[in-house]
Amino acid sequence: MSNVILNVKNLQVSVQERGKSYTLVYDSDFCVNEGECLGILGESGSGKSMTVKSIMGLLDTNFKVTGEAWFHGKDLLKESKESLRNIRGSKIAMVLQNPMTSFDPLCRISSQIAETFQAHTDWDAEKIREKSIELLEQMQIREPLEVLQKYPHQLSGGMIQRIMVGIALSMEPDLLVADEPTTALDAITQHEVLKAFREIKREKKTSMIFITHDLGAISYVADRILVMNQGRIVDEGSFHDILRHAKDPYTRMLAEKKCAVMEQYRRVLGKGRGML
Amino acid sequence: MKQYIMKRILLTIPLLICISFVCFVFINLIPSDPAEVALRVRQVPVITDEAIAEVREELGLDKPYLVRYAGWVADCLRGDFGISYTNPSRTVAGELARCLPATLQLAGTSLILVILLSLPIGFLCAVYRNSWFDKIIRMLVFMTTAMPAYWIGLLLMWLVAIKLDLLPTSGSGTFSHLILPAVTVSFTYISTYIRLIRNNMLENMKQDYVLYANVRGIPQKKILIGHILRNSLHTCFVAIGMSIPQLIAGTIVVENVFAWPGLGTLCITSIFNRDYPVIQTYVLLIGVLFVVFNLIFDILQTVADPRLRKEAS
Amino acid sequence: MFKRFLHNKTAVITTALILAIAVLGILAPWIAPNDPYENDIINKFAAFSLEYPLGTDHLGRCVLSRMLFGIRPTLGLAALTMIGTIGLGALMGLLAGHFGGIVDEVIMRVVDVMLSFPSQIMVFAVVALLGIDVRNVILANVFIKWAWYARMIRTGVVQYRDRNFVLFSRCVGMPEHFILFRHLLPSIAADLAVLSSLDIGWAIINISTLSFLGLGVQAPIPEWGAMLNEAKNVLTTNPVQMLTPGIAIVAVVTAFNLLGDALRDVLDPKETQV
Repeated sequence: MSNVILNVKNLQVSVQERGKSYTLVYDSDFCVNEGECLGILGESGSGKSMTVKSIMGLLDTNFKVTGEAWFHGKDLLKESKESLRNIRGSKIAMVLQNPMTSFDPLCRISSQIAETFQAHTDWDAEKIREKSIELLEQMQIREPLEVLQKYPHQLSGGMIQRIMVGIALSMEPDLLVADEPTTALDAITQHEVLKAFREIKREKKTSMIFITHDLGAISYVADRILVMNQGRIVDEGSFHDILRHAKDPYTRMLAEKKCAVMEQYRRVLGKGRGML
Repeated sequence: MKQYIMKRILLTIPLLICISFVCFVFINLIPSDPAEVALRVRQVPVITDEAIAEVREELGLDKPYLVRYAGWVADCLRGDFGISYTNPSRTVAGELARCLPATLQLAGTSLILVILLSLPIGFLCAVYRNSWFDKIIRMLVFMTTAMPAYWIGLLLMWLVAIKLDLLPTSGSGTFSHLILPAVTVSFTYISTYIRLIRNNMLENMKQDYVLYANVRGIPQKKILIGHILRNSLHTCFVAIGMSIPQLIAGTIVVENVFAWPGLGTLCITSIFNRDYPVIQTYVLLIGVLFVVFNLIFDILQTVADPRLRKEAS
Repeated sequence: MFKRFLHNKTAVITTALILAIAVLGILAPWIAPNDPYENDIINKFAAFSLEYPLGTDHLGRCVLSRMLFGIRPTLGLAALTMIGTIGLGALMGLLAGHFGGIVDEVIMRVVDVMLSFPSQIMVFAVVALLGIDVRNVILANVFIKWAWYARMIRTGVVQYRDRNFVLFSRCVGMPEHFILFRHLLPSIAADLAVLSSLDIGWAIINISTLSFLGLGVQAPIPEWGAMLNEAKNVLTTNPVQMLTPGIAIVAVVTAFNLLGDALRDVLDPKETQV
């Protein structure tokens, strides 16, 4: 199980703005093992999204990325744009934060799924259709035929999020990146989506990077956790380690706060049956 | 959907009434007495007080204001806009009909030029933003917003027609007469739309759906044309459509520079000759065009955009 | 704020340029080399020389002198238009925003109708109605433009109306007009400055266009648009004559546009204009 899928060394991201350069991610090293779910925890603006976006080549040209990111024997940071594009969506798939705005409002769901398939395979229209329906069924979406004909605004956030996860999994990626997939959802849908992720982990054994600022969510899916603060990786370990024996003062504060909230939660409920 | 369109059409009626009322008030504000003017138009040699009173009654000028307004609107709806003051043998409707084709030809050609030039240039500026091409175009756009249209016309006339002797300086008739005025009219609009398309595309590029398309590994070209451009065109199409009446009104200056025998020249001549019925009808025509084009493109936008379609139905 | 203004190069340079042009206009009678009205047919279409630095026009008049005297109507009329527009717009906007209710409703409906009319046509209509005269040109421009300012100022006033400092003033028992002019007007002055510096360029173009068509400033008076009208008639024989006034208009309007953009940056540093 200890085959390393993604190995990131000395990753540094800076942005050029009005002639000045600001560093957003400092000298980060981490790796993702096969079948493992790595959680990245941090406040908004701590550089966690930036880290994965830089690896996948999704940043604008005014960002400067240095370091190495080894994936299947290739350094992603030195690959050409076209080869990165081929990897994105097929080998490395990603789920984004805002499901409602992540689909082109003018295109039907079917065409947006189809273009993903077209980008990575040479399937014909019939096969694409079959696969699209299969994808929706797998994500337990009822009446997939109808959903395919809908526009994004006609579907609920949870449903679109599940379609997004479905698209990500349909190409059977080696690495699934989830960038705050639950933040924009309400509590109940959040739970559903988290459950879906846990199932993926159990059944497909896909390696994952799960980014969030929610300790509860991360404890539910992640095997190992990185804590980021102001562009630096400040702590690393299992959830238990982080919660009890955090090395970094910032992490400790985060954990204590969460514990305090959980205490309160338990007291209110009368018994300790939360998500923790 | 049908209901929505009906509602939109009904909502324009008060606006049309407002416009027509302003136009009606306009002609009633002029310093000279309409009855006196009418007598002069009929070339009555001596204008007496009795004659004026007679004509007043005949024209219904002694009736209350609102009754006259209703009568005037009814006349307009029948296509009767009155008689030209300066040339009593001609009706206003006839004068406008005579000049309208030339103006439509000019405005139409300009519109085609605007679309053909501003779309690709704006697109390229957005795709290669901050490149030298983008910077030069942006500078040109900034310069042209500071240039009066008539001066552009004079410059073009001097450079192309006099210096290079390629095209005629003024007049109309052949296609070569049309080129210079059309280019001049389209100049200001092209720079406006280059800016609109460029900024709109840049705005769209920042959207989540573009990031997500990249995440899924969709080829860059497809994202640009299939998603970003498509979304921008929706906005720009409506903006260009709604500015068609403005384009028609905008010919007024350029027509005068190039002696183009359209509505603009007619309007300016009428102002000099104090030919009020013609001016009034011209203003009414442009006002109605504005309302109608706004209506048409508003409805088209609702039909074309799935989000708005939902709200409307 | 003033310090930020001084740090913005574009703002300082354009302001300096505009002020310099204005001063030239004011000093025109003393610094102009020749009488702008003095005909000298023998010397018509003269090239650049010491006596006539920018040559002479079709009547042998000194172009430089005419340009200098032309600053007065060009800038002056545009300034007058803007003062009128902002004055009327501010009054209506303040009334609508401050009192609300029926006053607001009536004023804003009028504004809506005004905005739905094509502005260029309205200028011609008003000039046609009132007769060809400079005064009417200004009236026409004010008439079509005030609605924009009324709407903007109303929005600003409504935004600020319930802010604490205004409520406090009212509690202390300050008279309404005091609140209006001491608190509300300065609060929206920033937006007003940006918009009006952009619009003054528009006013210059608009007035010169009317003069060019012969509907504004009349012939012998040296106004840049009217000068271009004269130049148009001798386009074939002396094309140089149309360059100077045209370039001058473009330069001044560009300066005002740049100033407007720079002011926006100065007043709102977060907003970077693409």
